[in-house]
Amino acid sequence: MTVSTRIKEAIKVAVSIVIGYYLALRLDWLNPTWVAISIAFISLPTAGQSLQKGAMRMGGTLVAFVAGLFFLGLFPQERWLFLLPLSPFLFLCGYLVQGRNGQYFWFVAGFVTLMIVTAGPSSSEYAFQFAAYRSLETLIGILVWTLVSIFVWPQTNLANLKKVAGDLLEGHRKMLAAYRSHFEPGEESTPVDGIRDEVARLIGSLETAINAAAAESYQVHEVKRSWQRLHRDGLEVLEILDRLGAGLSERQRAGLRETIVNEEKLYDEISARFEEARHLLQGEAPSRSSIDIVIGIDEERAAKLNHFEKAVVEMTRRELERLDALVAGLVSTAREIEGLDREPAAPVRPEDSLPVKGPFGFPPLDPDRVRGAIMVTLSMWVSYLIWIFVNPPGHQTWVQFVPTLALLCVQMPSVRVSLAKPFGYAYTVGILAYVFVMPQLSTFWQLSVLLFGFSFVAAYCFKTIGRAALFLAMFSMLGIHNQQTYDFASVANTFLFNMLALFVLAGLTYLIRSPRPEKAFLSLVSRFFRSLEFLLSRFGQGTFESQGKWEQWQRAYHLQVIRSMPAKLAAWGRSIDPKRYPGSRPEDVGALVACVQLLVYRMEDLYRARQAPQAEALVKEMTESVRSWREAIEHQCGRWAEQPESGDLDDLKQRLDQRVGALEARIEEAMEGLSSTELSREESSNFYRLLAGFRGFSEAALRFAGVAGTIRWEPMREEHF
Amino acid sequence: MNLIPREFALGGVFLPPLLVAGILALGLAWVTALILNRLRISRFFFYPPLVYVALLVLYTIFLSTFVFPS
Repeated sequence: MTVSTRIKEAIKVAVSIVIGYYLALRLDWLNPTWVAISIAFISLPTAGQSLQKGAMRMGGTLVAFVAGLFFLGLFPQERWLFLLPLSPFLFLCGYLVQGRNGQYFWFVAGFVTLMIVTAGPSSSEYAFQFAAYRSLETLIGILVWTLVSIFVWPQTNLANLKKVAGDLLEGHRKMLAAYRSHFEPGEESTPVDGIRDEVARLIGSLETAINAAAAESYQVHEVKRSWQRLHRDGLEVLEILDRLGAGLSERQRAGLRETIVNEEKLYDEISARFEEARHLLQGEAPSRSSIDIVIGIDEERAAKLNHFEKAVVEMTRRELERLDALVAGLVSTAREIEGLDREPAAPVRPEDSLPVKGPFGFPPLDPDRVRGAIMVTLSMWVSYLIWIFVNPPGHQTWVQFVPTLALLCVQMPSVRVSLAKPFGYAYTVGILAYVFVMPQLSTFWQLSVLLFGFSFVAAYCFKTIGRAALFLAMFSMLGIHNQQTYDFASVANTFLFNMLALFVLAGLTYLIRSPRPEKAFLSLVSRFFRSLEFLLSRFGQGTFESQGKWEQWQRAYHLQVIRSMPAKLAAWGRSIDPKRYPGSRPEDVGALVACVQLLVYRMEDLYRARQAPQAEALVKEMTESVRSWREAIEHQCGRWAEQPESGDLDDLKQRLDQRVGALEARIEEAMEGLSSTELSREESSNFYRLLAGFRGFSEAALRFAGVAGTIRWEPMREEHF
Repeated sequence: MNLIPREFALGGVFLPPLLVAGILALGLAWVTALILNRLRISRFFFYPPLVYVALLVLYTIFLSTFVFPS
């Protein structure tokens, strides 16, 4: 009989928890539960993942050890002053816990610090003992789980890493095929959105899998840089495919598909390279060599095009060349990972990047993360006030529990989870076990059966919140100690405290902004267009480097806002209830997010083109026409910030066409006035990039207007409980 | 005036009247919010979550003053 991986994992977790409790009880440590908590929350399917999480838990605990004792030492007798240094620290943890790296580290640092500072309000000696035991037991928990996961049914990440990388390459290939199918006559078109979402998800998974596999295997660690390059290039391929997909539809409409020579051959070659890279990563021998496809522009056809059309063709050619280089790089990286090439592949030159850091090297603050951090800090103040002035059941645990849950909530703001339900059920089960089962047990072996059963059910039957709630219920309700006593009032108070704390937390989430997905979605759309409006208003005012510090910081901030927006909108958009809002179906919301992503790309293209060296004489000639176009778009962005559905599509199209027409006429005049020697090849190319940027942005704006018109926004704005 | 505090006894467990009033008020405020949502009256409020808190406080005061005085 074969045992499924899920059962094996649940057995491993349950065995580790029993061993952890045994050690802690046998050695009479301060709180035996801490070892088990550490095991329950770092236990992941593979040793590498667990080691990584365990290291973060240990690091966070050590930071908390120092920070907690430091804060206690600063103002040991001043309960209000004591909160002052604690607040910025918790704010920092709340901010960093929402970042991309080290979230778990900051989560642990935040909540363990609170545990240490409230551990022994009457004795500093106890606080030190508490902090020391907490660190020791966390470390032992990590050790127990690591040993169990290495020796019992070991699972490595290498196979998973290769699978994720292979799936990603296959996803890229399918995405390219889906875009092509939209424009091939007689072919049934494949929907792209689902494939794109899957590719984006795989890129996130690949990063995690690389780190986890590198933590457990020298084989992966040695070529970690190559894996990271594969991840980076994979992300860029996704971006280029997005741009090409949008560009394909524009060129199709303008009848420009035939202008690029060898385009179809290049697509075939790129698809074959994706396949080749995937097979190489699966350990297969190389089966083909890359063929160099030279793409060019059909001069005869190009001569008949106007300047905007030439610009679109030029832009596409650049993107195709970049895609070609990147996918060739993916194959080389796969060969390098498999040890077929001794020499590392030459990295593909990164696209000219726009600054996302402020003038002092710090990235601009993210308003959503600031909001989350304020909520975490406020939760500490509110629970502290409740403890001091009301002192309900739970007492100082309020200051530990509520901010801990707040730290958890801000990490997944868009996931609509009612915490009260899983926690309510889990704690009820905990009470029943405490009242009816625990008093019947007399030896550790009997207790171990209960612990094993409870942990197995939690690990096997539940995921994420349900699993966490059941483990927490077991740890806090059973209250296992060497000198076991039973007190119904204590357990009933714990239950009541937990429910009240969840209620207070639910109220706190409304303090800063409504946590409802539709409200958050509306607010984000508005912020996006405000930032776009700002960036457009600064478009004609020179490069980043020529600006003062404050202006540079503002530009970096707004660029960061627009870049981070598609992911945020996608996350909140998925949480909008389609039953309550039938006018905003998930597919419409998805299409809107795709338009927002396109606007971001086009804005970046425009700024990049503006940063590149331009023929200033030509730019000067066009200043007036560009200003007119920019003001029209800027005005529309301002309106979309207020009402995304505002503006008639035909009217907008007419206005933009008029501006673009004027721009075209002006270019024609300016070009005639310039001799061929006055315009270098680079300037000419950069100028066409700029033009393609204007054209692309107008097209993206029209696309947004079209999709925004299909969504019913009014019900989302309506207030309700 | 009777200064001896009164408590609810549920199976031998003593509960303060304010707790019972609070729990009932929570339920009543929830039902009221559902009705207001159903009748689309809630769109006239500036910020419904605050109204919910206000309803909760009002119901708690009402119940603890007139129904379960301590």
